[in-house]
Amino acid sequence: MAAGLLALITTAYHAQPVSIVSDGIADITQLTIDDKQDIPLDGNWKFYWNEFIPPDGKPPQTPPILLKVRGTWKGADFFGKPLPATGWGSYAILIKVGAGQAPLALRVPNVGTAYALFANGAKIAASGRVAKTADESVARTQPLTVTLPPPDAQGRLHLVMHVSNYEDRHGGIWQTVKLGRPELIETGFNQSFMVATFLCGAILLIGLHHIFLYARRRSERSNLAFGLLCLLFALRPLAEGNRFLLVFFSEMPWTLNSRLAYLTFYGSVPLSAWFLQLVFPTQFHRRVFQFVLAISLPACVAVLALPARYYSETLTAFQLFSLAMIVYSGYVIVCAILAGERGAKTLATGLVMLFAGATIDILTVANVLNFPELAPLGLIGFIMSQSVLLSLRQENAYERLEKLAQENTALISSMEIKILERTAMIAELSAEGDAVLGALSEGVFLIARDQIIGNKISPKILELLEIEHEELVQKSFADVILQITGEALSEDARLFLKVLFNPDMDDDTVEQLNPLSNVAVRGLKSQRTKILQFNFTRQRKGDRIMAAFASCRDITADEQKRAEIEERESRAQNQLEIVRTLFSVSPEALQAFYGSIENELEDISTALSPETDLQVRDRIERAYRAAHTIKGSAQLFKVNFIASQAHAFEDKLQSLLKRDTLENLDLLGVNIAHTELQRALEEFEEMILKILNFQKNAKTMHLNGIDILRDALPRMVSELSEKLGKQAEIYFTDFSPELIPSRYTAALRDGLVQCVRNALAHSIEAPQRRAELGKPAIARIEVSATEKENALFIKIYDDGSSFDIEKIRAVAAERQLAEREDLNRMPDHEIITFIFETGFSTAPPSGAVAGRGAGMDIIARKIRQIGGKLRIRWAKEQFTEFTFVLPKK
Amino acid sequence: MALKVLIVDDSQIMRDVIQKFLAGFDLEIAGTARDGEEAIQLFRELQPDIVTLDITMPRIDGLAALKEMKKINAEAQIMIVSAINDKSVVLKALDAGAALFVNKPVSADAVKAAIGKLLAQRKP
Repeated sequence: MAAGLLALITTAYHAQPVSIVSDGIADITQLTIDDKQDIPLDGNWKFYWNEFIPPDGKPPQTPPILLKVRGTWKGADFFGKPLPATGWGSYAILIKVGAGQAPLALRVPNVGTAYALFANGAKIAASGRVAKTADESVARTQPLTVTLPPPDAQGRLHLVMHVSNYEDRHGGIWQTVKLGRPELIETGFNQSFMVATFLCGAILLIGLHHIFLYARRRSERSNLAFGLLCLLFALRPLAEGNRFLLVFFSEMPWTLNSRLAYLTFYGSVPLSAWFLQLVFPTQFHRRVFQFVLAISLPACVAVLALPARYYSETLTAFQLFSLAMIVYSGYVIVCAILAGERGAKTLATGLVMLFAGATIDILTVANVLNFPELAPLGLIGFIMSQSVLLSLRQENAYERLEKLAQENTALISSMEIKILERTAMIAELSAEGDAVLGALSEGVFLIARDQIIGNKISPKILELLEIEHEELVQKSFADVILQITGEALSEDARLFLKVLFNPDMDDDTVEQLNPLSNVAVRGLKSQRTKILQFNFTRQRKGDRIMAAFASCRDITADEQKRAEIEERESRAQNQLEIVRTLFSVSPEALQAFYGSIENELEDISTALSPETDLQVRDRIERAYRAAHTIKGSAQLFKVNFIASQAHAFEDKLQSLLKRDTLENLDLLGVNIAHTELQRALEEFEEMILKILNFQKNAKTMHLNGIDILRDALPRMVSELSEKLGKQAEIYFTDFSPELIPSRYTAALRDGLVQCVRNALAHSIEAPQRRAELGKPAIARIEVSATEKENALFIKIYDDGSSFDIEKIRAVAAERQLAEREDLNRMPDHEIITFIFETGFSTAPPSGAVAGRGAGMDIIARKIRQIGGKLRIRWAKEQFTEFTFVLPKK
Repeated sequence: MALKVLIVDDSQIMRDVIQKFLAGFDLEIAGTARDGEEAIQLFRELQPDIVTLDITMPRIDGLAALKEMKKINAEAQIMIVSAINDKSVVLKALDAGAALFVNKPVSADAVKAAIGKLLAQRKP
């Protein structure tokens, strides 16, 4: 391989346009023809247009022109006329070989498009069928090696080549004709064949490999592009250059081969563009790629569809186009390298080799350079770089994988530890939570936004609701309420939860709307009726309500107490009402009233009795009519209490009657109301009786204000005596208070009280003084009320020290109530009258007892007002007796 | 432009009282209705922005009237006047689209606060 490479390079280097042939003659006598190198017969050959000159040396008819080989006759100046691409003619060359030369061989390259070769008059080679018309000709461009006959006597070889072209864009000897040792030529051929085979095989394998990679990983389309490119390039050495395809498939029509050859070029451009675009999508503009496709694909189509004559014309244009593409690709790669794209440098190196080869190839075909096929070599170089790239990538990938696996393992073990720790923590907290919940005496649970009850609940709630754990947790709250109460409340609960979770509703409003603040439920297991209270607290987060915290209590006991209190209050209210009524109605009227409603009460009882056979509506109507009558009667008798009770009953019945349909269940409420009415009437009756009784007793007693004093005065006496540190007792002698008319009651009452007070305060002495005076320790107060000669005499007697006339005299003088002299002259019974002066008091200003001196004057006035008189009898240090004398009439 | 108010209540006294309470606001009393039927009719004709609706009216279902009104104009703000213990009706009314509720007996403060809230809700 290396030898071949070297050979190729040396031959390439050697193949510089050194024009051996000039003027149709090549003199190689001086040159050594060894087995190391061959001689390219480049230069100016003689060319005869439109004549197949006789190969045997007879003079041709047309004048020759000099034509460059390698080259084409197209466009050459033939006596003023440029030659067309198609046509026919003859090339001729005279080679001066020299004598004693070893046999030579000729390597005839691709000649467009058919030729016949004659050496010294003998036909030695042909390709295709040369002819003067297109129909007769058969194109076949295929390199041949042909052994030359020995030179003539002068040591010259006269070569004539008849060439015709009706297919290609340019007829003529396209490539170099080489002269050399047969062995060398042969070896050269073999070598190039080996190289081509090798290249083809290698590239094919690599192409297949990449296509296989693509099949495995459809996402990596660059593999597909590259694979296809390789396939195309594998084909190229066979279709182009030495045209091995034609060598080995001689039946293959030249046109097919030509098309394939073109396709391997035309197709490679879009494929390479595609490949590059896939590898460097950011740098390779999409638009450019679309442009490339827009040019290449129609070109390929042209190659397949059109005759060679036409599609071969596109070659130059396409070559330029490819060169431009190569330049652009170079730019793309540079950008990629600068952008630090991964693998850009490696790819660059490979691509440089590839493009260099391709460029050289293009230029060679265009006759600018003369190189053997280098593109495949470049491709090999590129492929090698790709392989390197791939393995590097794989290496990286493996390394990374290993590292990741390691990290993963480490991570997993540390995570396992963490998870264990967390699990333990959660278990602990959960146990704590459960303990707390378990200790609660309230039923507690959470309701989520979707109205579903959460998992954590306090056991108490199960007790309160008398349901199982599964019936509560993760169930809809409304459903649970449905279970323990009914549809109505369940619906209310559902609507309420909507309001609860609405953040625009404020807490107070929500509180107001709670329909479950007082729920009567019947225990599902115990069948016991109890009253539960549900409270809800919202959990806000930002401006949303995340959940509601619900608590439930059994308030049956509380409710019972409350109901009791309410009842007591209402009963007290009732009694007040009753009393008020009673005080405005006479007992006789009451009696008459009761009589009048007896029938109606009977009617109601009958109407509501289950034994009576009546429709529900009829029952209620009858009861209503009776109640209405009772009300009317009560209003007439002004028994307001009964009137309002009857009215309430009437109302209840009326609201029922308004309904469209009535059922037995409605009677329940009516019966309850009826019972209430009956109870109210009973209470009323009770009260009446009590009061009537009381009144009865009072008549015999002739209850009046005076009689009360019988109890009150002794109490007052004992209190006062204790207060004043004295000892006294009060006796009622001859006390007939019934004799006293009621018009005197007030005045007398006050008078009696005042006198007793005064007696205790002023008259009655302290026990010590009494002892000194030889009086019994306990003072004596006597009250009597008698009648004599049409007058009432009410006497208050005490055995105290009575008035101190001198003191009275002195106070009167002090108060200037009279002249001193007059006072001294006045008898005792006149002095005594001074005690009736307003504010008169001999006692020092003392507390509330009696010393304010406001008593006697008022009493005197009152007695006078009722037409009575006040007499006083006293004896100093002995007794005092006040007598109220009142006229009997 | 003043917002239009429709007052619905079967009691003349209540209608007058509510009208009085609304006096301090920039509102135009577009009309008054005595029952649910009249209310729906006037609602269609007058197209008020705000409605005060007595939901305890016995004869025509206040709730039905509310739903009908919301169907005709979902933008209208309807404030219901309810009995103090009738939570069920209030909840149903709120669910049907009532904006607010005030309890009977209505106080000037309650009505004014409610109207204030309704106007604030309209602002944006």
